[in-house]
Amino acid sequence: MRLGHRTRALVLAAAALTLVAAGGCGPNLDVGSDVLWSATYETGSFSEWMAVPGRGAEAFPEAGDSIAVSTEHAHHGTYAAKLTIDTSVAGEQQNTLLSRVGDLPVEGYYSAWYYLPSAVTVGTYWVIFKFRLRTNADDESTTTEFYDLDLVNRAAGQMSLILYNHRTAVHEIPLDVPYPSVPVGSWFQIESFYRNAQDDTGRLTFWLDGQQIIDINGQAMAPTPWIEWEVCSIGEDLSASPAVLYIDDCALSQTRVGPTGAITR
Amino acid sequence: MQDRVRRGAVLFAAVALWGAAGAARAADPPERLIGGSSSCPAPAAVRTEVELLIPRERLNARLRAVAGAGPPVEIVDLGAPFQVTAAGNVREYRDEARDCPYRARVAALFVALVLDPGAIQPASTPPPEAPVAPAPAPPLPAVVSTAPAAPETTTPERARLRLALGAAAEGGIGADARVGQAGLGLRIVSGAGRWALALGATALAPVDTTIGGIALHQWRIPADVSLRAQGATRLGEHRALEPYAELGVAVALLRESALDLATRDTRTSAELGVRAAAGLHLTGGSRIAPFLELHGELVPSPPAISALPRGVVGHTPLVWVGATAGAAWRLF
Repeated sequence: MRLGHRTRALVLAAAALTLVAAGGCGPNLDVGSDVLWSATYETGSFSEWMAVPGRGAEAFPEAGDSIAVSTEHAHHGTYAAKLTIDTSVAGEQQNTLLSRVGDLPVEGYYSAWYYLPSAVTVGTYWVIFKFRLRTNADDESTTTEFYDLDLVNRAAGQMSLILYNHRTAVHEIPLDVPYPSVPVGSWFQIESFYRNAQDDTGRLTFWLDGQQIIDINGQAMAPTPWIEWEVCSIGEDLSASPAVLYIDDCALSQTRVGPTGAITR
Repeated sequence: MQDRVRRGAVLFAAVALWGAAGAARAADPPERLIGGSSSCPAPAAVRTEVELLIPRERLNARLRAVAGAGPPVEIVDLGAPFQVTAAGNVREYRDEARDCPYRARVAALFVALVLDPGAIQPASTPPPEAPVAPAPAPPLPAVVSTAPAAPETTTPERARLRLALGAAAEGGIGADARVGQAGLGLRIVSGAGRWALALGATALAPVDTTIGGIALHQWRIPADVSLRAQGATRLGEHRALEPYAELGVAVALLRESALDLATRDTRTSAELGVRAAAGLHLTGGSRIAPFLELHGELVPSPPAISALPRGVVGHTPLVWVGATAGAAWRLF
């Protein structure tokens, strides 16, 4: 290699090395997803719920109970589900819910974001997240309640959570973090890991905004593989009435979503 | 060691005398005073070389003076060894490479030393060690030697174009990943001087690895363009070490496939990095030289690996280090 070539090669090499050293962020390789299903409502409808097995979106029994896609508040994007229940009839349960049934995995992470526009006084109960079971997987009439996550009042104007098990003698399960604070006027995430095992490998764990609030491990869960998951507003004797709750960015995932997780690209 | 010195001296003296003799090359005389069955070297080639050392008339006179029933000088090719007989003095040399011109020069020097030692006077150089005891003028006592032949004394010429193929092993290290890979490396180097241009690529076998908790099937093919600084150190008559160092730009084709996500995708990208290497060639008489190379690559901005719902879980290795060992072919 003659001097001229050598000098030229050195200059080129130095330039190339400088370019490499000054290189910015490397490319992002998106290799897949553990999100099995999600509902962001960005279609402006409940199509994500209606396209999979389950009860879809329901509101009953009063005319004041309603479920709709709304642009009033959204966790991400433009839309969220708005669940309104009219609890003006004392002693009557009002129901609005979004349900998934059937193709749910043996174990998975169930996540949803909630928005409470104002504090509500809970008279009897207010369920916002629940699992149901069947004692006979093939018999619809054996469907019954299992675990409920309820909003309760910790103090006047402050909201908190309790876990309720319909199948134990003592229904209220003490949380590992007693009466965690649920924000009013900002979005919060409820996430659950549920392993529906019929032996002592069953597990149910809940997180509130990423903080684990209870972990029930090493015991049987539903007696059959059949389960139903609902994000809902099911209440009785709430004030003020109607009670409004917004729900957004629901997901079923093989790995934990967490407060920072993304459920769509 | 003594043989190496002797061999060097032989060649040195031969070269010096060859130059002193000038251009006085001449054809063999009709009488074949230098004979034998050898084809390597051919008696005629030995004669030509001897005439470079001793003027033809004087040589013919010396040959006639010692001639008996057969040729006074006889060359016998024994394969790797060859035997030279001059006026009853016998010397056997060994030359594995069977370099016939070289053999002819060695044989000629021996013949000249036996027949006319006075003709060899390399005045401007240190007195070389003679391959045989200088013989007095004929009649000469027989000198028989079976000592190993003088080896070649030149350092093999450095290749202008060299192709190297070797087994490669690489390890990647990063905050989120550690991975080992093995494969085959191919490298072509152009330039026989102090500087050369090197182009290389390595086909690494795919491996399963984990980055940020995501199980991946990874396939990586690095390539580079580098500037090589190279030198040479003689190890002996036949061998030399050619160390080199390289600095260049590396590009790697990277293919990542998720293994256990609910939805698995494959993504391909290019990595850009800086590569440095150091290595050695062990050269000899052959066109093929073994080599060993250690190299490292810095990827300042390694690709990120992401998957839902976690988002970016980590990056591919920041640093790659490895080694390649194999053989390099001197093409030109």
